[in-house]
Amino acid sequence: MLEDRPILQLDQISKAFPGVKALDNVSFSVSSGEVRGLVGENGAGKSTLIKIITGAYTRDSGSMTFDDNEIVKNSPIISTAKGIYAVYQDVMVSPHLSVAENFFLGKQPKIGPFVNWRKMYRDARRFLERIGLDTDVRKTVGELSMAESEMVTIAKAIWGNPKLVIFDEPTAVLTKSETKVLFKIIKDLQNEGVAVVYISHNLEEVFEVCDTVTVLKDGALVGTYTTEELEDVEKLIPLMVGRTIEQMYYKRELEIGRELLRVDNLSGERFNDISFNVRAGEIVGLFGLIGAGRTEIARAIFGVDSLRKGMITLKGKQVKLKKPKDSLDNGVGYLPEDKRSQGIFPQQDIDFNINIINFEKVMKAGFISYRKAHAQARDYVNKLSIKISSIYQPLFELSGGNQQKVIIARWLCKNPDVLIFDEPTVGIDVGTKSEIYRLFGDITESGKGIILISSYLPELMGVSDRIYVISAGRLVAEVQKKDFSEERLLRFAMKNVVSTAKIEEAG
Amino acid sequence: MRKVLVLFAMFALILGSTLAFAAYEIAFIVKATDSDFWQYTIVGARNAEYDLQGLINVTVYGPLREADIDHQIAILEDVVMRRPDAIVMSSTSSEAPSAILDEAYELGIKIVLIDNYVYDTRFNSFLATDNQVGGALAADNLVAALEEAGLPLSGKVGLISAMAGVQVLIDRTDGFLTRLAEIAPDLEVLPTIYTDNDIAVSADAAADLLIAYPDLVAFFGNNNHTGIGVARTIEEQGVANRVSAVAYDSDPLQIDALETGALDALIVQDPHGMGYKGVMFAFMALHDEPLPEYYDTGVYVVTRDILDESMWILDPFGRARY
Amino acid sequence: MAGKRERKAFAERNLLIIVVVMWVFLAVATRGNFSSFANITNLLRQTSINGVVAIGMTLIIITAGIDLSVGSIVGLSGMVFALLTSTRGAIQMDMLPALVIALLAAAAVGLVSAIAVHDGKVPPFIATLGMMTLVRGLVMYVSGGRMVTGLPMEFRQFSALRILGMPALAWIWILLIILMLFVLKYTKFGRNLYAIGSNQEAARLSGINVRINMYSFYVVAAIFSGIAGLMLATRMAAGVPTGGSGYELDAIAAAVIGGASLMGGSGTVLGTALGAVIIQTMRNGGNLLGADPFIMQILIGALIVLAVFFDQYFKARKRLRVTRRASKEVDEK
Repeated sequence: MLEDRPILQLDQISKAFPGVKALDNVSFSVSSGEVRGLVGENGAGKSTLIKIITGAYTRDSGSMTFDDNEIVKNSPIISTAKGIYAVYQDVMVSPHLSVAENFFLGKQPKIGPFVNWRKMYRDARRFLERIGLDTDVRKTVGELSMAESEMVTIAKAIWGNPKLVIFDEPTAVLTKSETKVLFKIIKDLQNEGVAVVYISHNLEEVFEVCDTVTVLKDGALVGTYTTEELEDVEKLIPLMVGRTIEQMYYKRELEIGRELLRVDNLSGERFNDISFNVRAGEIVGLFGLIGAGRTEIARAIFGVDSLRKGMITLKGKQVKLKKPKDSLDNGVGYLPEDKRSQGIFPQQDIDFNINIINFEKVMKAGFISYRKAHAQARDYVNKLSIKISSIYQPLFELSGGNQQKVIIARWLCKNPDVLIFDEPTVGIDVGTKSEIYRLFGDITESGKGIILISSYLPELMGVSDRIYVISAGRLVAEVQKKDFSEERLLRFAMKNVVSTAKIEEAG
Repeated sequence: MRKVLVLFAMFALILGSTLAFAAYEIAFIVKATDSDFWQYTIVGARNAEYDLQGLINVTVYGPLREADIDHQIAILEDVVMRRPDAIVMSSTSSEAPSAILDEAYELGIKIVLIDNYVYDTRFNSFLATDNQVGGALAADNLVAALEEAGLPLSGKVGLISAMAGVQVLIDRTDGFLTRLAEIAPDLEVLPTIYTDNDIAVSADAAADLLIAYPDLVAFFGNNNHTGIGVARTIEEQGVANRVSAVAYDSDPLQIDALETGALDALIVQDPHGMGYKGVMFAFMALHDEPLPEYYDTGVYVVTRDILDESMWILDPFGRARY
Repeated sequence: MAGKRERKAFAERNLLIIVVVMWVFLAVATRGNFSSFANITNLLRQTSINGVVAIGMTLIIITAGIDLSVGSIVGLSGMVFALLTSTRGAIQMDMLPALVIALLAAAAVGLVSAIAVHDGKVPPFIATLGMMTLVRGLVMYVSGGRMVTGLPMEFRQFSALRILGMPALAWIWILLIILMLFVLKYTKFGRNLYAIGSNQEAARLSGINVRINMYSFYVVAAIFSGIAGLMLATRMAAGVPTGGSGYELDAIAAAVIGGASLMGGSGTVLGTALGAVIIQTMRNGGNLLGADPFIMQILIGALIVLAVFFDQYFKARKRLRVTRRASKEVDEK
């Protein structure tokens, strides 16, 4: 099938965001009737590639041809009109309209000026029956379960007679029987000559439904392989992760001190029975796939989300951390994953952003001394070599890397015993990354401990002393530095995700 | 025998209560409930109800503010739905309620308009102050006040109006301007300033004019709130001896201002009489008594000298009999 | 580096220029009438009541909220004070306790709004719209819809009082501006306000108790409206049931012209004060010039839209420059 002339052809596509190169000269093509898997680690560039195909992002360079026409100007509306449909969750359907209305949006059947509801419901129901769903077409999408609405979203994509359908992690919310239906839909599409791109972290699923697999790594193309030549999943993982560990990941060899933080049997919203510890001078990695529960664990320790059960011990003393203030007072700090929505105060200046949790240090008789506050801010700006024109610059004017450094400055100034970094280097350029690792060294050298949450394995392996692997809300392994290997960690992380039974049933 | 007696008593009770319930329902709709002027008309209406000793039943309605024209219309619609025997109404708008009032008239509801005329509707009688006459009286008294204070009959006159496009206010202003031009042609009236019937805004406007025109010698405030605003500014700036002021209506604060000399004369309508006579006219209409199509309720001039003997007209609350 | 500090005062400086231009124009156009000491102090007194309401409004707008109930609170505090102290009333309380009770009544309204907004997750627009109607109804109910007169003589004379030639009402406003400039900059209350306003989640994660702070913002804002209500009562020498109605719109206009963003996180007391002065200058100047009042209304409306338009326009241009610079940096790497 690869010999066919491709319906979609991307050549030398590049895309950069402030501070990071998301795609670097990637070429990609799919033929009609082909089911193509697209795999790679978190941040490998899969989503960026898809968004360029659908026109949600504009490419910086490169060309795109679809159905023998060169696409110069693209947007989600243009791509849909040409027959490209992408199934993201909850994006394409309106939750307030009925299933049938969602299908007929903008082109309802009419009798005179009035909507012909009977015909609309009848046609929608027949269509769903044909593809194997028995959803009530009169219900609004908002009334459906997550899985049902996902299936309706998929059905709507097919309803539009697409030439190319892109599935982005479609099975995350589906049950076994629905996954089975989905796989059948994909086979049907293939038989009708529709091209399919299938993205999933679940490699066994990819093997099950795809003819060919494209692997991306760090925004660059690794290659495209047929499933036959790969033989099995085990051979795919090294392609996704294999890279030489660069010089910049280093961990200073320090003497490990006493235990700073210990958590026992923590259970909460999306995790169960988690126990681990952090000692002075140590960086402890938390690894897991996106959605495994790493961030939830961090938020619970920091007192943002509530714990169902479990015990937290700080420097040998059992504590209750019910709100962030408690954690701050007890020497625990947390740098959230999504700094844009949870970390920064964009309109406020750098001075404000650094000092917001540190005003206590510069208060005189209950009032802020700005002489001291400004000196404190400048001190940390220099220490972290943050590139700014003045500390009175509002934060939104800075690049992502410098914003992150300002937040780190905020916490370094606060100087807690244990600092939790949640994806601190996402969207940050290489130079700033290595500076951040150097800061990790400074922090641990002063006898503090770090918990590092990262999806980027080379980084995690490069700087951590130990790594705990979380899979589907459970702690599945503690790996010592000498046993670090990308394959090993990735396998642990996928342990609870791949349910072989589900695929067997679907097949 | 006892049974018969009980039966008779019950019969009497039922008959009595039927008679009581047979009192005429008269709806009394005012322009606004937030001003003393309309409260005074309500006193008049209630006194009429009292004097007629159970023959009528007066219910009072009205929006909060005069600016709420649409709210008053909604009230009128609701009242018509309840089919009272008569409606006594002071309409804020001269046109908006026409259709509804005419429909009510068609239904046999007696319509008595007070204070403000409504076009294109049938009605039984219209009672109002001739505001042109009132405006002219204001001009007369302003000139008298200037003469008494020994001020020249030349210079600027500030005219503060509560609202644009309200017929009674337009009449007062017209009457004032026409007469003033006749008797004191050297006084120049400045362009009218509208203040949304807000006391503070009226006071601000008066203060601005005093600064803009050093030769300003007099003010006319064409209702209670503008009058209070003017008086407050005159008091605050201590210019009572070189600026004369006349205002329409008679809020307690205006009476205070008359006492302090901030205002020189009040042109007072007879709100009590308007309410009282309005209800009485409605009662007469229900008995098919002939009524004049228009009845002038008259205006009174109150100055400091005759303040004490004018209290009956200034503060009708003292006259409440109910 | 220190020179760059002016960046923060960018909006205020532009507003100051607008005020100066307007004043110079009016001074010339009115042949010095406008610029007379009497008129400038008069203008400041006229601005003072809206100015005080607008300070409170600014706090709420910085939290990314809006407070429609301020006008009703103005009416409430004036009416409560009038009912408690009127020499024609039944209570005839001393002034000082009556002032305190009037302000407590105002504060209570703010607290209810805050609970609805923070704990009830009712959008501020809706919560305060409800309070606006509810409180106005309450004022009407307790006063029977009638003006309450007979306030103590000292209180009535206060509005005419001048200190160093400046009306006492204007002094109150100016002192409150200075106080709030200080509070917002030098206390944790002020810093927390900007933190919560620019990113509530980040503020929570910085250990700020969002609930207590939100309560206090709304209560303080309501107290400002309460103070304005008392100022209005002395100006009118009475408790007026409809007093303060429509003031919310003037206050929002002042804050918005002053550079506060309804998205939250930005806005200054000084900017708002200048915004209030600009609005009142247009009214006062219009009266002085004998300009058509309806034309003045059109101009004030246009000014509000233009002020926000230019603010957005300059911000957007700046943002564009920043992103361009950022992507250039990447290319260079």
